[in-house]
Amino acid sequence: MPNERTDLLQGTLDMLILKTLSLEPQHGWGISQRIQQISRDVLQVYQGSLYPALHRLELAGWITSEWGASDNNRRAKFYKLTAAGRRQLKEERQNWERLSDAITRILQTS
Amino acid sequence: MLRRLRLAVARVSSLLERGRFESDLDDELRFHLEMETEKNLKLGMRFEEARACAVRSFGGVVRVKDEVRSLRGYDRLDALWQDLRYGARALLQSPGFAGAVVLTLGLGIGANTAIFSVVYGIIVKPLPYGAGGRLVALDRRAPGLKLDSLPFSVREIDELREKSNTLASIAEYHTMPFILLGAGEPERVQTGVVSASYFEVLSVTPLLGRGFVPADESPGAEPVLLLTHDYWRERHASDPEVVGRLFEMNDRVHRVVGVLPPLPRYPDENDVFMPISACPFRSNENFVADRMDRMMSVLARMKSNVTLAEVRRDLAAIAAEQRRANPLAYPDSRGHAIEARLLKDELTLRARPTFLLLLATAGFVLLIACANVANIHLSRLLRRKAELDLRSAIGASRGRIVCQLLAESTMLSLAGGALGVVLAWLGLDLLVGFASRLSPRASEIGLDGNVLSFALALSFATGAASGVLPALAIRPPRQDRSSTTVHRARTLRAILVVAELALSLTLLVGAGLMLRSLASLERVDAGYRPQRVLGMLLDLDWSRYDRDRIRDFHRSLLDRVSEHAGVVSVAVGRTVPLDSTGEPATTLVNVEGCRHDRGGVEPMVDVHSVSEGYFETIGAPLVLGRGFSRDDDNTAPLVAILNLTAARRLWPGEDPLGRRVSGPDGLWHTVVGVVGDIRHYDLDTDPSSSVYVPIAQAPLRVANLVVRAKTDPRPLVEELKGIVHSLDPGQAVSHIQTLEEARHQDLTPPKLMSSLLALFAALALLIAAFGLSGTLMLEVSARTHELGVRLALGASPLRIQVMVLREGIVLAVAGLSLGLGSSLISMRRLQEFLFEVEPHDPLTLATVSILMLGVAAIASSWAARRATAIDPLTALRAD
Repeated sequence: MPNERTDLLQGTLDMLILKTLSLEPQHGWGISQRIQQISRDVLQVYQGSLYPALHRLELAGWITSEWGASDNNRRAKFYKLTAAGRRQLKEERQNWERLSDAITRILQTS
Repeated sequence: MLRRLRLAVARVSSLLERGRFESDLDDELRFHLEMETEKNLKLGMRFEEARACAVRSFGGVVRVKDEVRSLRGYDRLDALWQDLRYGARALLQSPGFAGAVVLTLGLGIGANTAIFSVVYGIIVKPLPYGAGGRLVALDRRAPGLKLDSLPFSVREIDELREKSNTLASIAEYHTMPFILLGAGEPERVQTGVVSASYFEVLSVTPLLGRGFVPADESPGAEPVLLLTHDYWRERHASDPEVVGRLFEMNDRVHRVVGVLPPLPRYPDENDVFMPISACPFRSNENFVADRMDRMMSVLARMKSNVTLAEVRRDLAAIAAEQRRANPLAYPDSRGHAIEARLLKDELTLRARPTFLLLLATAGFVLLIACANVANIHLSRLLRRKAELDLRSAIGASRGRIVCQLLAESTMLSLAGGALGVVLAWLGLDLLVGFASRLSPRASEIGLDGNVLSFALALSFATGAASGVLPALAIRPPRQDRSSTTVHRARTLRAILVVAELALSLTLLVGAGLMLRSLASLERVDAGYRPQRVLGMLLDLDWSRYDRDRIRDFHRSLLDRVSEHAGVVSVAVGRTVPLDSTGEPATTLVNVEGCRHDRGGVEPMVDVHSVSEGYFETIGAPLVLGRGFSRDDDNTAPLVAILNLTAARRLWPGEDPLGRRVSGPDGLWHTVVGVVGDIRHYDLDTDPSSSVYVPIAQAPLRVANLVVRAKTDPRPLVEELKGIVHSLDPGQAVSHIQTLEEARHQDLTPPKLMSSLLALFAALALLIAAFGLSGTLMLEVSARTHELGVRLALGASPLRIQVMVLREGIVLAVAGLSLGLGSSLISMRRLQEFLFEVEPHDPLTLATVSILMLGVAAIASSWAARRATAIDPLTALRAD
């Protein structure tokens, strides 16, 4: 199985999913649209990695899922953030900020 | 940690919801694709385009599914399930192969399970006594007498109780037959006579009622009985009301106070137990006072903080003190020592070598079976090489293929294991019967959970062993230049076949030696002719028979029986030759005018009281002088007859007739005849010195009636019983058997042992022969092309046959030399089982070598015939 994504990106995707779900419960397609929208189309979410990521987060207990009706009244699987997921998001966010700060500092010294 | 745990739980629970998971995933992805398609439609695409775009952006539905599945832990399970299904299909497609493997392994695992159940039940399982590891059996030894174990006297046991500081508790035991009245016809019950502490020492709690208490053994206490479990079941139909019942024994009323749980039949096969106060012999004052009057054996429990070595030192000190204090009772010429042996060893020692040997043999058979199954797997692998190459070409990893092969071999070995358990169960009765002759623990043998776990573990192990070798021979096709897989597999097969042949030859040598031993045993001249002779035991009730009455009873019995038309001759004697219950009655003799140096030890002889006609009845030849007659009664001069061994030992090179010997009573008996050596007790030890005296001059309360009949003696039994009961209605008759039956029983253990070994060896040889011909056939099919070319170029079929044959013989000879080498090393272990055969007996080695080469030749020629059945044209097209 070729996997072109680095761990960083994968970890980032997890964080983005958690962030998206911290606003409201959402189904997979909605999450992918939301990320694209907010990032002003900079970030294209590969569904190929979206769904495995969702299942991984669910297994880790950070999100839960239930079936519900979508806006157009179809059966869709909605994901929502758990308390553990909220803590995890906070942690990842701090990590991310430390990391990007460090990278920014490195790039500025020259 | 906690997260991991949660993950694991989630995984497991998701495993259980497999079906729903799949359909949910499908729905979820379908919804995504629909939404994406609709979005594309809104962007103005046509439907097909919108759909295709959506799918493209998704990046492979199948891959996503796979990834999610593997996240959920479904991939490994899937793979296994797939392997199993695929394997089962593949196996069903070749039922012959599957059948051969299951049968081979079934026989191997069955043999091992059966033998293991015996080894476990007798040797491994803890004794059914509480803390059985601390129990010891004590033996008195007199080194000068060359006897293994001598009994103790009351005085000696009292001193042990007083002086030992390593033994927590000590119990005495002896056994006697008594006549029990009140349970139908008079019954002879074997009675264990024990101190009240006996069952406490063993930590045995009665099943019903109570055990013995100290008050039971005080002189004059009410006689009480404990029934053994077997006796209670067989004679009293497990009657729960038996406690409190009264029986008459030895002219006193005995009350049953309890029933024992099932226990090993140790030290003897007793029916009932009584405390020492109830035994008329043990409670006799003179007996209690006499240090030299020895009858009991001793069981003891070691204190919890001492070792066996400390116990032995303790006992040596006590024995030394006894020798110092009583020089007359322990003459220096005999010596005196007390030894302790663990009860566990005592109970298993005789069975251990036999069953460990059988277990090793069965293990070898399984090893050969495994090698052969690995071999079959290999050949199948080669035939399936194309398929496996294809599978690895479409991306199956090597690991996956190995897993696949292991799944197949494990499925087969589990099926073999199931068959094996059934076979073991079928053969168990035979083995238990065999084991019961070697250990009192045989009743504890069974296919319990432990034995079944052993069979299961063995099945998995054989599955892995037979599957992993072929799997290792595989090389991925990319690295498989010049078909290394095929080459490696062929080399491996040759090695396996040589190993199989070598092992089976070793087993054949073992079996051959045992069979030769058995043949020598059967050829042993036991010194009598057992045909048409019947024996039965008459144990006269001691409370009603004194010496004169015993004499009268025997006299009238002989007279009455000899009048019977079907009887050729009749006699009474101390033993029935080779009867399993017979034991030597050794005593010291004084020889008149003792003029030879016997190393300070008086000669020991085995004494038999026999009536006139004893030698004629059992068919033992008189060598010198005369036999006994009616006139050798208690009023006539005392006489004796020696066997040849005794005559040669007491008067080497001289005429023994007219010489005199005396026993412990000091009465001189004149030798009037010499009889041939009779093996009274077993066939495999040299006859000892025996002295026969007329039963009228040395009456015996417990003696056997022996009758030689004109035809089959069996029909006479009821009439003979009738004669006994007409003389004494209260007389029990037991141990009714023909002399042929007794001899047959004596030969049963060696017969069973050698037949089991022969069976295992034959199995091994058969498996190895199949392995050899299979290997050669594979060679042939691998070289079909080459052979076809040779045939087409005019090579004669015969030459090709010879070529294949030669390969077979090369393998066979390699196996043979390896096997002979290992036999030479390992057969010394068999020494103790062999009778008149050396472990390196050249005849046996030669015979089994020829047998093996013959079988190998047949297997090879079978393969060779297949080789020349190749049609050159097809062969040329084969590649």
